[in-house]
Amino acid sequence: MAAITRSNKSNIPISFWPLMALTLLGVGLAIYRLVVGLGVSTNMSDHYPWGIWITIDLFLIPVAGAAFTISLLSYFLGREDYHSIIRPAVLAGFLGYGVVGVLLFLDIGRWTQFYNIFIPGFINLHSFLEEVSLCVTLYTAILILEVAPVFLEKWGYKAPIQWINRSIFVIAGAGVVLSMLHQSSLGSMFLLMPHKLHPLWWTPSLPLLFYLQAVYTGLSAVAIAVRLVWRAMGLPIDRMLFRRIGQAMSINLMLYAAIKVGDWMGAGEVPLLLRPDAFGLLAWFQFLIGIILPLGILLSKLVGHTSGPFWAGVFALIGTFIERLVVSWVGLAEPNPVSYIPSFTEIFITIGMIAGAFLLYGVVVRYFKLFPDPKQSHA
Amino acid sequence: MTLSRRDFLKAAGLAIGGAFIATESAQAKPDPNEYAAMLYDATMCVGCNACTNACRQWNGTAPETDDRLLYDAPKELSSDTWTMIQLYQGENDTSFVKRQCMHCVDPACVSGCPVQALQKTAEGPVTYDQDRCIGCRYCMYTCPFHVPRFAWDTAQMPVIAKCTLCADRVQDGLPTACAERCPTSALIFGKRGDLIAEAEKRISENPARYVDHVYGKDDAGGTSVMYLAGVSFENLGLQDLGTKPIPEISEGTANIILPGVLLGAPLLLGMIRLTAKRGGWEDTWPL
Amino acid sequence: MLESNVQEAAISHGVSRRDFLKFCSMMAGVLALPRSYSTYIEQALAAPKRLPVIWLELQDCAGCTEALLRATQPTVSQLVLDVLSVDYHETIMAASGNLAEAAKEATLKAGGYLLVVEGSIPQADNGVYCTVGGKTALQLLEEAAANAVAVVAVGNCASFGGWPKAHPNPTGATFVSDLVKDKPVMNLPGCPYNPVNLTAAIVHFLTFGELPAMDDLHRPLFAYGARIHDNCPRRGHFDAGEFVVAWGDEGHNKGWCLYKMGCKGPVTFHNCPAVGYNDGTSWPIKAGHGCIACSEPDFWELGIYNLADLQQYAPPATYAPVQLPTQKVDPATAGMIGAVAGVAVGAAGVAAYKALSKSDEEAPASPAEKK
Repeated sequence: MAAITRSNKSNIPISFWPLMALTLLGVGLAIYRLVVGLGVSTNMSDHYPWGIWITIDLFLIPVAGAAFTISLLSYFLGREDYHSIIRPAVLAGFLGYGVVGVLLFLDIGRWTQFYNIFIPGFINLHSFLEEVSLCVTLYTAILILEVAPVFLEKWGYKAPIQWINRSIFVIAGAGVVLSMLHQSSLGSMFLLMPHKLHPLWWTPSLPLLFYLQAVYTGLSAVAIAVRLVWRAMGLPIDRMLFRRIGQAMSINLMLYAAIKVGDWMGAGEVPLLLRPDAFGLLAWFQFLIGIILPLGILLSKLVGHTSGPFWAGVFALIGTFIERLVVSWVGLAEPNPVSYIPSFTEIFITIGMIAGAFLLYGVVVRYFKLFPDPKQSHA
Repeated sequence: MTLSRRDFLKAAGLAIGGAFIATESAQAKPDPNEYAAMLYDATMCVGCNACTNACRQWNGTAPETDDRLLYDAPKELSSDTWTMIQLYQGENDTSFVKRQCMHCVDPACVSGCPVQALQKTAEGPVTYDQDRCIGCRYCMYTCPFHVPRFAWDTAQMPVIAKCTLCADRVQDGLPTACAERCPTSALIFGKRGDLIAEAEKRISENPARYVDHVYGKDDAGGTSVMYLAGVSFENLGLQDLGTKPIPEISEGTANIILPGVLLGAPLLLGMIRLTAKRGGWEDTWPL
Repeated sequence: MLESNVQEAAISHGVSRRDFLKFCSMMAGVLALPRSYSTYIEQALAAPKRLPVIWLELQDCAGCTEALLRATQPTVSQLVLDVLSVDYHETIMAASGNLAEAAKEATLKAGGYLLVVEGSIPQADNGVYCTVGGKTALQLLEEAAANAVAVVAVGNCASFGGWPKAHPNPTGATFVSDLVKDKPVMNLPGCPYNPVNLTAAIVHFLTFGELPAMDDLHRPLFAYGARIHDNCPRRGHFDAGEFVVAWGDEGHNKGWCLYKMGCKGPVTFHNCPAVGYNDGTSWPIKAGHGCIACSEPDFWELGIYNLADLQQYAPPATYAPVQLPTQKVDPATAGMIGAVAGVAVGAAGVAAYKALSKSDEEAPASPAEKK
């Protein structure tokens, strides 16, 4: 994370300018999209009604789910060793959900009526998309509460911080419950297309698979982000913490793999894996790179290596990305498929929003206390 | 013990919500055989496209010119073409097929729409309310027949467009515009139960002419627009979707997960909280 | 009294040469010949030639004769027939009785005449249901066909049996080509037939010395080669699905397609839309009633208000084909994903290998390095 630098230097880091430029470009393109409409600004069509925004959302939500996993481990399981990364994880989660929110808002065609999803008479409780929308909104509010102390303490508001701390179990608990709901609902959304989604990816266990993937993806994000941040800031590496993260990742990866393989075998889909077509290859690729390779690292002694969970996380994230890419775009059966390549606007809005998130993260790291002082960390 | 009481209240609130969700889906459904429906007999269709034009005239949609530069000869459904005829030409057989919304008995789009902009009316047609629609296009994703289309080129307030089974005409006791216009009566309008009986009668009286299946009688839980054909339905783009309604798995999962998580998770978390060992790190709070 | 050729006759009757040439062009058009052929027609009609014609009216209503008398450009057509020397025609000839029969006998003996037959031939009860001058229609046809050069059956009755042949066919009516097997027979069906077609066929005969090309029902292709439906001015309404559904409704007032009112255009071969009747004044569909297929055999069995069978169709190559849902990754997307994935995994793999194969870093409690 080159945006981060030591807080005792006051000059603006070199990475600020490109990130700012990308963010401004993204904001400008977003206004353009709102003015001219989806048809002109994107390459989405009747055959590809969802594009990279949805794919990126489906990928960012589990990545930002680091926040709920760390909350669960810290607050409920009382794991002191995760104490030091609560703030970075929650901030990353908050910014991640912020990007998701912006991309979702830009994606819906009739955005001037977006509040319809909150109107009680309209809400369709059968719809997992509605459920995701409500949960993501509520969870973002929870994240705001969880991350608020970072800002409030700098600005000197003591009373709200105390209130939050007293209610932290309810807040964090609600966050865990909401996360379990919407992380799994992201997968449940695809239960309505058993005939359209490729059989190697469609399964009635989609909710469970997506939830488990969200857990280990969040942990991967934590392993990667924290490793990079501590490296950049010159903080000591907490090896036990990394080892624990790696172990938690491997448990979830194994559960995920077991359910996926069990489903493939149970539904008689193994022959599809043996076909030399694009889908067979993608499935193998996702499994080998996204599950086997990380497990290979994490189940060996490399789990104790400070870079072990880091690289396992990188490969696991690639696997998650493939999964989310296939269910939202590549794996769908369409009549007379027209190829979809995202437009300039779509790509640079995405990049711009993510750049903005990095930028804000850097600003917070710079001006607020995100990490504990070195002498407070535990071995 | 203020915290644990709060925990309990929160859990209770969520539990009530969960119960609400579970009971919501147990509502009485109308008899599918009473739904307004259409029967399309592909062996009688001559591909004249009178139905396409009748639909345009009734609904006021604009004629289309696509990249082939042929006037009003669309290749597929679009936001301006709500029904059309397509041609299957095999080596030894040929058939036309009408494309439009199937008005399923248990539609996937209705189950998935977050704001209930798509609704299955009691008379049968699946209607669209643009005042509710947020343009999320989930319906386009879930429809197994690839029916709903989006008005991409409308800059502000684009709509989802599909056949309405002439809900406004059906309400006044009229048949659909397309069925009324069909010159060969390949497309007829009536009550779903009556049309199923008619379709089965045709098959039994002329077994050599038809494939022995009324598509839409049970497919995907049944549709209101049903098909008879002389060639295999797969060739006409009507796949074998099984007999289970599409929303069954999704709604069944919702009925388990939502109450399960909303009830179970808070309880579980409460239990973990009460039993987990407390380290001294709480004394370092605030963080 | 008879001029030596049509052209002279025309001019002496006040028809200008220009109008005569226009007539020759029009005949070329009706015969579906290239425009240059009007020269040949002009030459034929200018050359001295007299083709005798015997016109038999058997079990008929004389409607075809009436149609003939309403022929287009009556002056010129009558002249054509004058040149042809119509030696026997019960309705229009001046003579009657024995004199008429004698005229016929003379022509029959001389031979080389064109026999035109109007009306069906009853066969039941030895043919007693139609007798002229003591002979049955069957006998009359036999003896007239014997020395004829060619036989032209005008009207549906002579071509296919016509109304008399409808069930139960009490007179046992039949038609010319059923009985005359040894002479070239041309059918000009219709009820009535269109006299422009007879004029054109005769002009063809005069120009080329033979009857025009015919279909398997002996109908000349220039007049019966296309369906009414194929040339109908209301075809656009058929294609647009605009149909009359009740007499006098809005569609009827707008001239919409009459298919749903029973029009048999799709199954009828005739050139009515092109030439019209009564000097091109009108024809059934133009007048607002559907075609009843009067030029087709057994047309009464179709039922005037039953829908015509539309089985014969050939959709154009540009017709929208069925789109089957396919599950495949298109090459562009596959290439993109492959490239990005390859680069990402490759780079990550290399970096991971390097990092993990290095020995591990210092213990966690060491002080932070200043960069």
